[in-house]
Amino acid sequence: MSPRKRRTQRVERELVNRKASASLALKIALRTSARSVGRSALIVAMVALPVTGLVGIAVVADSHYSPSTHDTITTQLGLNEARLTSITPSGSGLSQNPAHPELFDTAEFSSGQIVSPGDVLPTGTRILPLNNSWVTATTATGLASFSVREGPSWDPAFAGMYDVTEGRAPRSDGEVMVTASLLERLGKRVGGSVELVNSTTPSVKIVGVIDDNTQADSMEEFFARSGAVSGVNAFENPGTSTFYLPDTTVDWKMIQDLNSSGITTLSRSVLLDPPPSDGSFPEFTALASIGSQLPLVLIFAGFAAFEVILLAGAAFTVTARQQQRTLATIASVGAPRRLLFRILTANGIVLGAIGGLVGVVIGIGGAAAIMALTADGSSTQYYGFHLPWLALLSAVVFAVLIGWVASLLPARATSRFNIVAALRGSRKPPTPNVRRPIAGLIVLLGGVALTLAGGALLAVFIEGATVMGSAHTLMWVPLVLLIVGPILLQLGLILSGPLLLRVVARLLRNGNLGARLAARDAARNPGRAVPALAAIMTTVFVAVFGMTMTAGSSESSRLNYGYTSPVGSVTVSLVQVDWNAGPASSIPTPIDATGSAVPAVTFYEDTDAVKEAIRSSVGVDQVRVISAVPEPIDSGNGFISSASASASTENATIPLPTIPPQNLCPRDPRSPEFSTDSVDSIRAQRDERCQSYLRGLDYQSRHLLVGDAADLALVLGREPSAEATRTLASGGAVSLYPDYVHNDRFEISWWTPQQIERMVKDQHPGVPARTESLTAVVDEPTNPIRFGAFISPATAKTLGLEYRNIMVMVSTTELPTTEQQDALRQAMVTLPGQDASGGTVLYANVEMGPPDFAGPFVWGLLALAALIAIASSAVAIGLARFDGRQDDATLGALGAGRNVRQNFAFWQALIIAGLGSLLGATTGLVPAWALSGTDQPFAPPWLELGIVVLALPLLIAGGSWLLTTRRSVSARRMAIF
Amino acid sequence: MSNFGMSNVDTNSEVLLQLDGISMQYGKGETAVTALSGVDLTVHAGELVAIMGASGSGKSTLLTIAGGLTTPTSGEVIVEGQWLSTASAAGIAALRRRTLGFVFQDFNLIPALSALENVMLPLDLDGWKRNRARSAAMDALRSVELENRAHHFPDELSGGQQQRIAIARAVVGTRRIILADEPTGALDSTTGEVVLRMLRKRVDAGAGGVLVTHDARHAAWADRIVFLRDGRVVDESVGHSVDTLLVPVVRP
Repeated sequence: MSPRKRRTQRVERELVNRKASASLALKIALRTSARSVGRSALIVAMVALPVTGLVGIAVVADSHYSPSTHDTITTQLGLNEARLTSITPSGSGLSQNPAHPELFDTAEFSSGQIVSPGDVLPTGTRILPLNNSWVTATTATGLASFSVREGPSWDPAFAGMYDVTEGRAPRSDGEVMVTASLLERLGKRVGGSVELVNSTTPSVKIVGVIDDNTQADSMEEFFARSGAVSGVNAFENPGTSTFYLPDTTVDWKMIQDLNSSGITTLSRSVLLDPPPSDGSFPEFTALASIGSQLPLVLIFAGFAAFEVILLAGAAFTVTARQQQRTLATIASVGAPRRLLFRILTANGIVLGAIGGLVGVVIGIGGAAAIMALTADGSSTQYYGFHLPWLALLSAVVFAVLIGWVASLLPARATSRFNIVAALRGSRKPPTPNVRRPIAGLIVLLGGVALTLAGGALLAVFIEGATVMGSAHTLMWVPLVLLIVGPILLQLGLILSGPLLLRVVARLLRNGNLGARLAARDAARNPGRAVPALAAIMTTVFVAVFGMTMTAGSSESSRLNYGYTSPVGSVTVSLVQVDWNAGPASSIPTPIDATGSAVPAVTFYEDTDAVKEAIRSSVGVDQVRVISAVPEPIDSGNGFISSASASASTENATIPLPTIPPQNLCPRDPRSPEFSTDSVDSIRAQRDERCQSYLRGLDYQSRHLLVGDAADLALVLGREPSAEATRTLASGGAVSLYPDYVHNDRFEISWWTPQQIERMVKDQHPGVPARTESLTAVVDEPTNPIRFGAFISPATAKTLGLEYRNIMVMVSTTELPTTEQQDALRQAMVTLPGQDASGGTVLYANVEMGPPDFAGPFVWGLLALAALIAIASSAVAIGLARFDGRQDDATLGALGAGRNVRQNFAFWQALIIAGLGSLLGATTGLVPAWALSGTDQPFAPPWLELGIVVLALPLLIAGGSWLLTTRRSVSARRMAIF
Repeated sequence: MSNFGMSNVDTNSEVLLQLDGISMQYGKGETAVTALSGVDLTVHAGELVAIMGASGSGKSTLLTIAGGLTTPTSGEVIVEGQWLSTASAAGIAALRRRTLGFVFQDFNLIPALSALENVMLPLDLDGWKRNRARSAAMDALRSVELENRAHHFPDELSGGQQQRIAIARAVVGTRRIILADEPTGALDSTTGEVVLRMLRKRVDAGAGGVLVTHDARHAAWADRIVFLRDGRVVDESVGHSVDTLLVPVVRP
């Protein structure tokens, strides 16, 4: 461009006074918003929605995670001056953070004894020790284990932490205080007695009730004098206790002195007046507490912002088109197109700001409501009602930014419209742009590629971080790719939207009148159909991504959960081990080569009594006694067979199922992937084969089970496959894991204790003394339970394997209640030969499965997504229909009855919401799949996704059908604003 | 090209608007439509020119070309000596703020602004000081006898009042050319006459005006009537009986 032309353009630009232009744009935007209350309210609601969420989360998080200094003092010190914790031996070079003593560094590890504060503080210093232990107590319905806090919790120095609400403090070891919840569980009142198992004081009297402000009101907890239950002297075992100083002020210098003795300190005076950071102690960073969740939080925040921009953008697009005549009028009196652009973006800023403020107000109110509803009585759950002002201000700025960005594209498009046509109010469908769908396809493919690259790169970086021990400096790259990729993917679909609508119109060309009209209308007016489609697509995208990630996280926790047996089953292990029996024990015990004490193993034989005890406590469906080949036990001086108490000789060989080399952990020298490289070794830590249950030894002996098809059915939690039943009966093995089987064969090898020890230490064990091979099939249980493989009793006999009853297993008619579980444990104590005080009580395990946090969350997310999708589709489709009201009037004028218009409305909503949901669900799965390369498994909740794709559009279409008015809209030619 | 005779307006008076050989074609090839073909038109200060013709004859297109809203395929538009073909979009916009004013059939007032603010709009856009703009806008409102409705919003005014506001907006400030496209089309005959009287009054005060209309009685308010058919000027009448002039042209 020539300098002369540039100068001319500059002069012309200045023809419109900038200040006047800005104020005029703002004035018109404000007036427009005020006069179109309904439409403005919709946009404000769209912007306010995420701001509400952000503010709500910020307020709740700040109230939960960010205690003020006063909060910290009250909840962690009460009225005490300081809290001391013995961490390391003296001379370890301990240095702590002044306000966060849990954050400390040690220069070296000293091998000395941990020092008690009583040994380093001046004589006469008043010290109040508290420590935690556990006790089994008789409840109203049976037996259960509870936490015990030993020490003077009732001392006035702990006011604010522990408050006595009823009764008095214990005066002897035979007296305790309890929380109100425990009092109820025990079925007692103050003054009543409780029987304790494994306590130095077998029977105690309840003399008072304490409100533990550091725990939820539901916490069931005993409060006893120091050592009254555990028998532990806090000052002699400083590592297990915490010490409070009620009268002694501790300054920073004194903390440093205590640090040199290996003691960390939380001090009231230092909290109130912390020392300046000088690099001599570890720094506390708030971000560290967010940790690994940060990437996911960032990805979600990016998607949420994009969703809102599209939602608001859809509304702005329709709004801007409705304003065209006004804008044309302004242009006709001399406004340059730049001003028209400014008016629309000013509208976005105004509505964004209002949305931000509304969101902040509702978010604060919502946070207050959530906190009131979820408060569990603990003063550490919410430290108070905190308003993070910076976050609130950021939320408003975020809202203004969203409003502005959302209005940019519609403003750009609108400011380029045909002024003369707009002045005449003419309606001419836009000519389809042939290049746009092609560009859309390219953008879409680019988005998919970036997303997949982001996922792959993140997986590499995470693995690298595991190997290197720290995150890669370019970790942000995959995160950006994982945000930008899906956004491009959706933008590509939006650009291709007109083409997709034309395809839908072609598919529906033989449909009924309503379907044909609706499909043709959407295809001919992409300007109003595509924003609606985009709004629904992006809502569903975020929801599906969230649901899939949550379900994946739940699946991950399911896979990592140590299921002992099928969910709902009860198992009572008959294997009892007295780890400290030694040669002097009355129980016949094996003796190791050195003659040292070794664990004493017994097999409880009265299985009928166990069955009866279970039947008396829980609803029993099936009950079986499970047998297995006993596994070796680590005596501390070598591995011994637990097959029989008298069978111990150092030369005896022990049978174990064999994992084929290719399924072995790469750290095992027998693995073909074995490497001495340290990086490979670290990498192997993440290898699933190294985490396998099959790899370790199980003193409860569940790797090689001996039983029939009925036993197998109970263990699997379902009928075994026909092939498994056949194989078992014909002398083969049924493996519950594919890892044991190679080329349809299953091997059992006999090893010496020395070989087993080498095996456990990842050393080459050498050649087994004997190996047998069986035909095998795999029959995997629903969940990875801790049972290895089954052979029949006849096969065991043929192989010369000795097996014992190791477990009574029961499938229940319903999940046992807390009361039933208490009764079950009580029943175990009363079994013949059981000694509760000696600790040799059969343990009944009830498999409840992992906590199902994903289920409610996924459904909640689905409900929220449905709500937003319905709201956004109501807005977007409503605006589209408002935009198309002249067509509605034309239909009416041609004699179309309500049924035709209802049919049209139904199909219009179904096409837009259906296509939007389908595209949103598909695109939502892409980043979730890309992230499956990391630790997150790809486990979409198909049922919920089906509801999103099928039921949600039908619901929206049904609503649209119902809400179609009886009278057709009469359109006026003039419709500005 | 046709250039018909002059009206009773002083031909020595200043030429405010001049259209030379204006042609306008929409589309290309076989689907091309010629809206205007070699039209010439001159408007002097104090002259009101009516343009008549059947629907699709090119009247409104001619008006939008005169106002710089549409760029002709060929020909030249000169507004107060400024050639639009050499002006940028911003320059033409400036002309619409300072020289040209439109009056539309549907009034096209901005509902979010009061009557006064609607009239002030071109001045605001031009960066006038608020008080000066306000004073000028009040003068314009006074000239259409609506100063007492200054703070009413369009939806609080009758159709005739809205159109008078539109006229005030078209002449506010330094503007001297009024381009009126069927300004009485949405009004009853009595109100229409009031509006035309206002228009005439402004022209008599020194402005130049172009009035597009279907109605011969309204055209009679003009000093000169130009007849368009199929994009060409087919006749022009000055000072004749409206009936005798219109019948053969409008009904060929």
